[in-house]
Amino acid sequence: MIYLYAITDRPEAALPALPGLEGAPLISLTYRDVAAVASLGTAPGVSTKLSSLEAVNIWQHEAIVEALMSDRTVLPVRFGTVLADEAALHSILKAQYAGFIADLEWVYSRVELSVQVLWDSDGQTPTDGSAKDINCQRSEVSGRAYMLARLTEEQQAQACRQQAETLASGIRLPLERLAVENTHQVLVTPRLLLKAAYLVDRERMAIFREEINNLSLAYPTLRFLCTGPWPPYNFVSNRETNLLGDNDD
Amino acid sequence: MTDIDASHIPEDKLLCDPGNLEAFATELEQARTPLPRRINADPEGVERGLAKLVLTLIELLRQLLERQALRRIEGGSLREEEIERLGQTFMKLDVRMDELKQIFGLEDEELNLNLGPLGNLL
Repeated sequence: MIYLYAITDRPEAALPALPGLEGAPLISLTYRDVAAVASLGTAPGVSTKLSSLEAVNIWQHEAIVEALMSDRTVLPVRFGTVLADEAALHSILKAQYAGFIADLEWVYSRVELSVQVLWDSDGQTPTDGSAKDINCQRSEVSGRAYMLARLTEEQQAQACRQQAETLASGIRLPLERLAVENTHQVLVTPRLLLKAAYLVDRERMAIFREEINNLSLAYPTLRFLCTGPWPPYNFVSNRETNLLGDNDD
Repeated sequence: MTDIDASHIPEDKLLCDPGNLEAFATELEQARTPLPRRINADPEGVERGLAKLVLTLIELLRQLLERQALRRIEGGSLREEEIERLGQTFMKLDVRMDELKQIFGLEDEELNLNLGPLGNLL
């Protein structure tokens, strides 16, 4: 089995002096001017261990990708991507070479910045007389009362959603102007107003950070978390899906 | 990687520190994919994994039907007895879903599917 960390340019560059997952040494497999950085697993069941969703493994994967990012352009591969052998990896490099080159050019000298915003949507969660409450006493209440309670809940949820979309839009627009690509989700959870990632030119990071500070001042009731720079995980997702393909089981 | 536990983010990665990272960690934990990309095929976990998938799809259909009914109520196209009948049906379905969730040890927030860039199914 072979565990994959990233696809990179500059195949001639030396690998970081870091151990791979499970202590296995890092290896680089080159196809033309791209390289895949991986580590070999030998023990039976190693794929299960390697992809074990433990924080220490995730951070080790991340440390390797970031070390690579320090001196080359990187297409990070999702944590837990395991291929059958070097031949399988080579065939992926060959088949997707053009796509890898295009992606490497796109993310060259760019980093991913992550933004999360929390809000307090007070009063948006129905409490007294909700459909669930009514259903708990359903032997005593009518189906009509249940449907009307559900209707009220839906109307409240819709109003909450609209308010969230408006707020999120006001936050997103100035940040999107500083990015070349972005992805976002509104209200992934009731308190997580915005969860977004931005692909930003490395030299614009300081401006982006300043804009986040401005937004924090402009929206004092919201709480902003901005982290980075990260490898561009959210901007190579299609390639990642192809990598997973049929090769990781 | 940007979805990992916010409380463990190294300081040099914090471009804007909101003070209380635990609140973010809690929300991001909830935002994680409730269902894995693949069904766990080990004999002990497979029944629960399949139940989770099936109940998620039933819950999706239940919500779709319920929302359609609510739109018709809003539009005034349902008679009182029809609203009553629909309400009774949805109440029974709700109760039955709660029973099934209890049997398989599932919580409401576990019944969902991550559709990637489209967000969660429910």
